[in-house]
Amino acid sequence: MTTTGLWREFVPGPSDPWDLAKVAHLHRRAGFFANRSELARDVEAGPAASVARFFEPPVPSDDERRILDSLRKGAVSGSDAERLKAWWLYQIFFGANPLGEKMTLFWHGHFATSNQKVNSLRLMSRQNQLLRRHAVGNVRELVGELVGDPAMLIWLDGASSKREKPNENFARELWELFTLGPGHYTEDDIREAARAFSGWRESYDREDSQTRAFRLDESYVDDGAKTILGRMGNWRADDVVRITFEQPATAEFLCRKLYRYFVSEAAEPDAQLIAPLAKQLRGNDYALRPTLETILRSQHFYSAAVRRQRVSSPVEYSVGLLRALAAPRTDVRLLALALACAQQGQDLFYPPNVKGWDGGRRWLNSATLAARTNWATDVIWGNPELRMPPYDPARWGNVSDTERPIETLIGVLLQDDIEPRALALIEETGAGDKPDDLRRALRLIVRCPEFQLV
Amino acid sequence: MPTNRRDFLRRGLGSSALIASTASVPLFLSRSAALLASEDTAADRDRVLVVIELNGGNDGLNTVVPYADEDYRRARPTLARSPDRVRKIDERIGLHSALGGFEKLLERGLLSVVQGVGYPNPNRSHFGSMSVWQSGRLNAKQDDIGWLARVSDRSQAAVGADPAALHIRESASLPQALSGGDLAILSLTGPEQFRRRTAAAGTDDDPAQQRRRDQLAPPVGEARGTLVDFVARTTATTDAAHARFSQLLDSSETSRQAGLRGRMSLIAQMIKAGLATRIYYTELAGFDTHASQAGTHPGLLSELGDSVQAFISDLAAAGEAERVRVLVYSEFGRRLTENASGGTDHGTVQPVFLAGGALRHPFIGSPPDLRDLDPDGDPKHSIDFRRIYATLLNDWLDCPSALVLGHNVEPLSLL
Repeated sequence: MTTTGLWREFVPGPSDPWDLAKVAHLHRRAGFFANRSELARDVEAGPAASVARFFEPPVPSDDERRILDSLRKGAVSGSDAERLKAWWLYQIFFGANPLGEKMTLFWHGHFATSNQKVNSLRLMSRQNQLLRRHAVGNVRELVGELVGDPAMLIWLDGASSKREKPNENFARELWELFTLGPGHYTEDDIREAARAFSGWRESYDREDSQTRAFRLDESYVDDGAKTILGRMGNWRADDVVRITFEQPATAEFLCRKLYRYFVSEAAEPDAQLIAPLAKQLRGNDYALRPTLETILRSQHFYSAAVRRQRVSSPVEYSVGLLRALAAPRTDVRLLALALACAQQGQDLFYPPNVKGWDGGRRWLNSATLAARTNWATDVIWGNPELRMPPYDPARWGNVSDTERPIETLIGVLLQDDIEPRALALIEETGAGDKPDDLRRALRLIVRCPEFQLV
Repeated sequence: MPTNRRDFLRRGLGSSALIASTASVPLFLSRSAALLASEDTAADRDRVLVVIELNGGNDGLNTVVPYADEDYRRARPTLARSPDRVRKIDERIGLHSALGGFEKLLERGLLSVVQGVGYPNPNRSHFGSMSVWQSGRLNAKQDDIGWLARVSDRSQAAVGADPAALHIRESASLPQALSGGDLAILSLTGPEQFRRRTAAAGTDDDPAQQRRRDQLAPPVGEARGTLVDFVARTTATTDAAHARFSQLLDSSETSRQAGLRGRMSLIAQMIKAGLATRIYYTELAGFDTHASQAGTHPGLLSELGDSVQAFISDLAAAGEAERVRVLVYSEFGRRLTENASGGTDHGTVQPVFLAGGALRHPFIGSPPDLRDLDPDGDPKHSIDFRRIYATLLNDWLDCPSALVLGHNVEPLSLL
C-alpha cells in the first residue's frame, strides 16, 4: 500500500478520526448505503477491515442461488423484462457482494447494451452474469469475452459483419467508448479492426431454439495483413484486444471513469491524479482489485473535498434509501423499485444509447426529481397501489437503546452533511418520536439537496 | 382561445388564483411569482421552435432520393429506391414513398428541404457528430454547452415562470442541445410525471409541516456552481413546474397517443394553451440502420412525415401555425455504398427539413453530387448546418447567432 503521494493511505488520527461520516461515505460509494448496525460495525472495525470486507464477500448459500436462478428463469421464460430487473435488484438489495454489484452496474453503463435492440432477456441476463463474473476481475479478459458475447454481437452488429464488407460499429465503439477514448485511433484503424472482428455466423443456442446464437467460422475470418494502431500483422480479434490494452490510453481512460464513479464528478481530475492509478492498473495487467483498493483506502477518498460530490444514480438513491432504513425483506417491492428507477432515468437493461447513462448533473431535471420525490413519498407513507407498506420505525431495523430515533435517521441518511438551519427543523419535526413525526422528519430529510448527493 | 386565458397562463405562477389553489407552492416561490406577475413577460415570446432529432443517423439518400442518378443505383444494389417507389419532385429527385405527410406539406408551402447539409471534416461517431450538431461548434466535446441551452440562458425565464425550453423525451436523458447551461431544463414523457404523489390526508399536509417544507427550501444561489446549489435550483424548478403543469394539464385533454405522434400532440397542446415556452425538443430513434434497413427505415419515415403533418394541421386549425417552426435533423447521413448486411454505415451529408408557417422556398441547395466524393467515398456537404442555425437564431429566436455559434455565420434565405 502506498504511504506517500497523492494516493497515500488514509490513517486515522486525533484530528481526522475514522467516524460515521467516513464509513457512510464508503458504503455509499463502494456499495448501496448501509443501515445503522452495519455502519456501527465498521466504525468499530476501522478502515482496513471495513474496506477488506468489500473485497471478500461471503459465498452465496445454495438457497440464495436457487432463489436467484428461479427468479431469472421465470423472467426469461415469461419474457418479462420487469422481472429480470427485479432479479438484478434482488442481488443489489439483498446480496452479500455490494461492491461486485456496484461494478456490475458500472460495466452495464460502460458497455451499455440495451434489450431494445438485443430483444432477448436470455441473452441480456447472460451478459449480466458475464459482467458480474468479471466485475472486480480483469478488464482485458472481460473485453475479450465480450467480443463473442451474443448480446454484444447483436447490439453492435458484429453478428451481421461480413468479411467482404465488415461492419464498423463494434470496432469503433470498442475504442471510442470502451477502451481508448476518442483521439487515439484513425478511421483507417477502425476499418482494419472491423476486418479482424468479422467471421461470425448464426448458430444454435444450447438452451433454447428461439434464441439467436453465433459461432466463429474459421473460413469467414479475415486473417489477412492489417495495420492496427501503427502495428502490422495478420491480426485477429484477440490480437486487436491485446494491442488495445497495451496502449497507456486505455488504462487512463478507464481510471478516469472509475474516478468519476467512486471519487468525484464535480471536476475533471488532474492528469497527475489519474497517472498513478493507470500505472497500477496496467502494472497488474488490468486486474482491477489493486487499483480499486488504492482508491478506497486513500486519504483522498475520505477527504471532505470529495464527499457528496456525486449525484446519486436512481438505483443508488432508490435502493439506498430503503437499505439505510433497514427495510425488512417482506416490505420491499422489487418490481416497484425497478419502475421507480426507470422513471428517474435509469431503466436497467435499457440504457439510453451506446454511451450508457451520462450520470452526474444529467440525472436531475424536474421530471426525474419529481420521480425521486414520488419514490421517497411511497417509501415513507406507503403506496397501496404498489402494495408498499409505510416506513415503520418500530418494525424496521435501526432501533437503538442509546439514541433518539431522529438522531438515528439523521445518522444513517445525512451524517454531518447538513446545514444547521435544516438540521434544527428536522430535529424539531421528529422530536415527538411517534411514527408520523418520524415520517414527517424523513420527508424533510429527503428534501435536503445534500440527500441527492452521495 | 380567449386572450385573457392565454395571458393568465403566460403569467404562470404570477396568477394569484394559482398561488391560492396550489397548496404545495413554497413560500419563496410565491414571492418570486408575485414579482413576475408585475412584469409584462408576454412581448417577445410569440415564436416557437420545435426540434425533432432523428437519432442514429438518417439515410438522407433514401429520404430525398436521387432516383434518376446512376451512381446512386450502382452503390445500392438492394436498397436503391426505384422511380416507382418515390414521390417525384422533379426528374432528378423524389421523396421516399413513405413521406406522404411531407408531400402534403410541400404542396401547401409549409415545408422547406435544405439539401446536402453537413460540415467540414465530418465526424462519423454518433456522439462526436451529435455533439457538433447539438453544440453548434466544430470541435465539440460531449459536455460542451448545447446551442439551445445558450439560447435559453439568454431568455428572461426565471424560477417560477414557464420554462424557456422543454424536452419531450423518447429516451431518458436530456439532449446535449439543451444541456450544460445555467437553467435546469425539464425533460418529460407526459404530464403524469409531474403529478406529485401525496401521503394520505391528515399526515403530511398539515400547515405546520407545509411551513417547515417551505422553510427547508434551500437558498438558491449562495454557492453558485456547486453541486448542492445545482440540486437546490433543480428543486425550485421542479416545485414551480409541478404547480404550473398540474394547472395546465388538468384543464386540457391529455395526449394518449404513442410515439412521435403522441409527443408532437402534447407539444401542440402546450402551444395552444399559451405556454410561454419557446423551445421544444423531441426525438425519433432507430435510424442507425447498419442492417436490414429496408425493413425499418420506411416505417420511421412515415412516422416522421405523418406526425409533422398532423402537428402543423392541428396548429393551423387553431390559428397557431404561423408562430411555429419545426426543424428536423439527424447527426449524419449514411454512406453512399450499402454494406453486406442490407444496411448502411455512418456517412456524411443529409437533408434538413423546416416545417410550419409560410416558408420562402420549398428547396434550398442541390442534391449531393455523387461523383465528387470525399476520400472515404461519401458525398461532400454544400450547405453548412450552422447557416440554418444562424437563420433560426437571428430571424426566429431573436438571439444574435454569433453568441451561440462563436462567430458570424452567413444565414440562409429560409424564413
